[in-house]
Amino acid sequence: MIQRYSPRASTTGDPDAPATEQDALLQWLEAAFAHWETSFPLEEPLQSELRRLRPLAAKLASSDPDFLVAGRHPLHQILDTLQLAAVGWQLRLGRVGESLRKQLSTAVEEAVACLDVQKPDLTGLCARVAAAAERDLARAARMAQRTIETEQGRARAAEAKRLAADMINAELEKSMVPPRIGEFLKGDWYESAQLVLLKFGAESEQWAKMTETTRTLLDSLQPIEDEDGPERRQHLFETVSRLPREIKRWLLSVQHLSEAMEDATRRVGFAHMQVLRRQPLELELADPIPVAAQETRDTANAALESIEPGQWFCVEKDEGNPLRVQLVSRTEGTGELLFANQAGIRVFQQSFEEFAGLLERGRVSTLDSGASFSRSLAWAAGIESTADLDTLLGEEVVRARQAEEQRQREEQARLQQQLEQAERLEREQQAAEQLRLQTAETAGREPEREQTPAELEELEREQREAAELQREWDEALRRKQEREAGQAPPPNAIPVSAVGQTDRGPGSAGGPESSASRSGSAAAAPELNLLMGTWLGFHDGDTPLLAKLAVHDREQDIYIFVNRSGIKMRQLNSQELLALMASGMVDVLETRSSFRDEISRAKRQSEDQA
Amino acid sequence: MPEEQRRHLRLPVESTVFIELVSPGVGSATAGKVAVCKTLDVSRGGLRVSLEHELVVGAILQIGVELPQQEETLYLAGEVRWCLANAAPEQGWSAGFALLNAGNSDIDSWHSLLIEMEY
Repeated sequence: MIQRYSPRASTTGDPDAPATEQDALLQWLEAAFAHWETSFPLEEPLQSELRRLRPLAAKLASSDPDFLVAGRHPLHQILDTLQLAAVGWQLRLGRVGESLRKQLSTAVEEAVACLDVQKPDLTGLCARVAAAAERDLARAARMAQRTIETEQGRARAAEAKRLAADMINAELEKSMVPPRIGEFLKGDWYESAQLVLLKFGAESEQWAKMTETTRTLLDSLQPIEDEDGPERRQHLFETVSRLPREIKRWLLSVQHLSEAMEDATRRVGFAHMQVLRRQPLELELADPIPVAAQETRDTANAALESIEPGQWFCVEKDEGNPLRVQLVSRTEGTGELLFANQAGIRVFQQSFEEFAGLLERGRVSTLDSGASFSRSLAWAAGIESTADLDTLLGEEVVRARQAEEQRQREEQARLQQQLEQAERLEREQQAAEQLRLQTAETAGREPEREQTPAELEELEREQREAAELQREWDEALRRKQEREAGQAPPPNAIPVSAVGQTDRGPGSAGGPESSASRSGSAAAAPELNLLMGTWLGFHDGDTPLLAKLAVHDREQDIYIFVNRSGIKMRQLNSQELLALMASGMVDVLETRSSFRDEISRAKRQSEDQA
Repeated sequence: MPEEQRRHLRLPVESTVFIELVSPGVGSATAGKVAVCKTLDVSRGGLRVSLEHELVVGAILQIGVELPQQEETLYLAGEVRWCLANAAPEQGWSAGFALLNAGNSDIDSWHSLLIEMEY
């Protein structure tokens, strides 16, 4: 194939036949391309798109000496970068992957145009491709980090729930309790225990104290027997006077609800009164808090030893439905692997065993990337390892390579040192915080009670919002992928690219034509066919944004996007919006608007109430 | 604002208004939150309502208005310009909406009807 495009070899003999040296070059290139496509495959049509660069490569191989050194020529670097950026690309990504596809097509077009140039300069194109890829990879990495944090938040919350239940159940198993106290322990106290764990951790002094308070509470509720000496009564008096304060301190879940707080101490106080007056107290063995059985997972799986975050895989969980996914997180403690797609959005999570099973069944293949084309060029020249390279290049080059490796090791060590320093600093800050709390306690003050629940609420709120955002993204993308996979479009789905059509009234989705009269003059810019209430996903900034179209003012040519509560999040004119859509920075996630249905429902409710 | 400075005449028309306080999230099967309330007065450029909920000033909300003797609900987009608690706490809140010139809303019909009512 390459031979067809090779320059003529000599001025004598058959003008169409390449010379021997060039023949060897072309064979080398042919072998390199074949190896590249086999060892570093991309999904179609990207693979075919890149194949268009073979003629240019053939031309450069025979005319530019730099091309003969793997990794040196800008075209090598362009192909390396494009493969790296596109390794996770799949047609099923739809608009999320559209931006990359366009970038790749544009880069190929620009490179192909160099065929007609005597001395093509690909350096500029190489820099542009590298910058775009770096931007995309950084964005995906940020998204993946959010995904990881959301999962970590979920895991922490689940662990806190389990530990809190274990602690309370262990105490309930040892002692009988009045039913109302049992109810309290399994309600507000259980929730507060989870918050203490989330805030301070299972190894903290705070958690140990809360556990101790739980034990003391249950112990204080056991009736005074005749054989008990005066010490027991004295001890109980002391406990009774101290306990309400301790309970209030740890009752984080209701610190903002004074009524609930008072109710808790009233229940305990009432029970104590009965114990001290030696009145009969109804006691029962409370049922434990239900806890989901903890799965014991084999985290020492030999097949997974070489798997590390950052690696790409082609996973065929369902027959004929391969997914290109990147391992973004590997949690040894829980034995979980978290995978994301090219955009950094969560695709699935699997246990070590499940993934090892897929590996065993041959449903997983590694997708290699990084200097891929350069490596294929080296491979085609018979260099498959650094040892091969050293033999070929001689001592001087080996020394240079070793020096570079040493430099990289030193850089790695420096980064590791910085990381350790940051961790040490964080530990010191945590210790200082604990000390501050202890000091406040010793001084007889409540350790900033007002702040603790507020901070915890904030943490919980953020986690909820992150989880909700992730869920909405997942759901919206799933629906979009279903639509794009050729399933029947929803009745209100309208092609995003359709322009110049007339909008319908707000809340008219799926319903009869609105009585809306048309207002304003047609704007000069092409009109996007977006219904009021359409949800868009913006990912042109550091943080992805979900927003709903609230107003399209045709006269002023502005689109105003708001959040669920109507707060303005974004304002764009049609040109800006079109540009973002064209570059794949905006996804139309849902064209549904349920306002009309909501009104019908509200009317029915009003009529029922009337 | 003095009456003479207003761009449009305020008409003391009581009509039922539906305001979407919170819309359903993307992909959410759960309903949003719609407030049902009454207008205190209306004009071509806006409306004043009395409702049980406090509104966030600056929020842009979808509104459905049922004017007297009109069969069709008019769908509009409005920006909350102000929201004040009524004198007695149990009487809720009063809020003023500026209607926005939203393409594909019923703002033109609203203008026509209000002009008729002004005469």
